[in-house]
Amino acid sequence: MKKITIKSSEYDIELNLRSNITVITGDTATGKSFFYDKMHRVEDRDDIICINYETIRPKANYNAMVNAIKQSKHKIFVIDHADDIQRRDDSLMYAINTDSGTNVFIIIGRNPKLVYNISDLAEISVKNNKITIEYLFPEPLV
Amino acid sequence: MLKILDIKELPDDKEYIQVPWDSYFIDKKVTKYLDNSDSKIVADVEKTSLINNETIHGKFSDMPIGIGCLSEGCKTLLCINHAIKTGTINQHIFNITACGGNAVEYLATVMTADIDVYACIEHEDLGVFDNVHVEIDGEIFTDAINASTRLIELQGA
Repeated sequence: MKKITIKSSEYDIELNLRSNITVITGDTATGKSFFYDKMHRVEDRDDIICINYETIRPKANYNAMVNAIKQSKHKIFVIDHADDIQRRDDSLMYAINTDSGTNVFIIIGRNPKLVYNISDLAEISVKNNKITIEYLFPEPLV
Repeated sequence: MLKILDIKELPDDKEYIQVPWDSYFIDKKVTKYLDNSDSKIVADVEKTSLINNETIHGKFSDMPIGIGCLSEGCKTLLCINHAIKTGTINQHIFNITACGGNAVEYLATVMTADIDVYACIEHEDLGVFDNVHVEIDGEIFTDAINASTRLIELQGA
């Protein structure tokens, strides 16, 4: 379990992550990109790296991000538009799948080509200026 | 009717719009012509309202925010609606993967009641609908569960 807590004047973000890959899914307009936007605006955390369709539109940026994933340790990658990003080629998802487990990936997408358990599927919850995630299924018994 | 095609065998006679919500920003070609039908999409799917062609009421706060903050699923529906309004809907195949179940349901029940929309999708969440005709790879379904099952088969093929 990894706990990520971010406090700001606008919204508090509190994430209790079960594993190093969390897939954020859910209906349209339930706060997925809103969550991404708030993570993207966090200024005092250099361990948080946000990626979306626009930021890696140029091929050079895409390749740079793939390399960043391969070379990083103890970072938190938040990836929005995963379904659209992965249509370009497999290298970004491959880099995530082959990560050594030191990084944390929060993937916003409906059908990412990743190795994950259904217990890693979660939805965003926004209540009383607090953003959390709620897992859709119970944690598997070990 | 919503006609979902096999993404691996898309016909050549229609333009494939792979990321409709991204196209939405180009030259403001969609937002420039928003009308009541678009307001209804924003109200029913996004659960908020348009203030003008560039601003919406924020859903998670009371602040007005830019229309670019709409969800990708809602933007996708606005793109499709633009094609319906301009009479070009039959020229396109829209990738609706950005649409969650609620947006697909709205597309299948409300937007395609009187018109055919060609689409492809890379997930199987079609929302919850009944007695609505959806065509998947040439086969017609009237309930979301069987339609979703067919989609899983199609995507796994």
